[in-house]
Amino acid sequence: MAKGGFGKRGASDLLYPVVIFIVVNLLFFSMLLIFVYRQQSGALIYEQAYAKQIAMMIDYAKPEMGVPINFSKGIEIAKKNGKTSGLVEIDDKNREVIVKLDERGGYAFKYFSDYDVKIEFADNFLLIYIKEKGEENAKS
Amino acid sequence: MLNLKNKAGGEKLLSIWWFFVLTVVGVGIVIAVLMFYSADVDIRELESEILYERVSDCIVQDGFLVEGIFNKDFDLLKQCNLNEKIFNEDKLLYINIQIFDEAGNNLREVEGGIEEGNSQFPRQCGFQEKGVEAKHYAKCFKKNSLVLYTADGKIKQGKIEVLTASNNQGRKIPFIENE
Repeated sequence: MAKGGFGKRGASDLLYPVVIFIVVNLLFFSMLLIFVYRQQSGALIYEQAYAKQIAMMIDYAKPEMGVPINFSKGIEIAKKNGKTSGLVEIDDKNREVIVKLDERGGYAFKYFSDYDVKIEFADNFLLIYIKEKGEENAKS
Repeated sequence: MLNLKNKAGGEKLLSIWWFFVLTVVGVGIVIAVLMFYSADVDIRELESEILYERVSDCIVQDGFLVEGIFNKDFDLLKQCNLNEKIFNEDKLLYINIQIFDEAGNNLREVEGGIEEGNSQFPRQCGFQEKGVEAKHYAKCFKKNSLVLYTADGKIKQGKIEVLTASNNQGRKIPFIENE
């Protein structure tokens, strides 16, 4: 009887450390995987890339031009982060393109063109319209 | 006896060395991923080139220099529809235009050519031409091209030298400002 009890205790003593070891390792590596996944779909790098791309398009464009930019990845990331509106803003006063793909901030980049800039979304595309300065006001 | 042996095995598995290895691996991966995804997309060189295109497009039309470019009060920013704030308040960009005749004489009334923006940038461009590398120096673009102009009722050939530079780096908007 005593011998059997001894044997049982020995087996569990051998098993627990192995189980704990596996669980700790699994936890550790799943945490790392989750971290890498979250970073990979993080908004910052896309906010920066889109802001700079839009600013360059504005600087390069001439009046009466319309420039489409494929914004599908940006929309996908924003949806994932629970943001559905105000993804791209044009700050006329400071001449800045502001891209916000989550609620926690965004990225701003200045453009040097002095034309009026209007933007709108059409499906997955961001359409940028360049107008002569004051043309919109003159029309209205 | 058996019990003691098992205890020793468990201790070996979850020893401090194993945690040390996990920590090193974890910290390594975290640092590498953070560095990769927070990398800056540097477009300053490209922006200088775009600025050059924009300026040369507006001062040269059909191969001729635009009217009034030799005048002292020629407003380059207005002529090229460039925003004054980013050049003269934010000081993130720079343009310099030199105009020469065929013999290489400067044709502008004002010495130093037409200049707008941050006047520190030409020095930084000069250092970089000599091979000095600095992360926070403006990125430059310089190009010469042949142009035509009219003087004394005759069409003459000249040369323009345009230097553009950018140190426009963008900024992350923090959560507080967003609110």
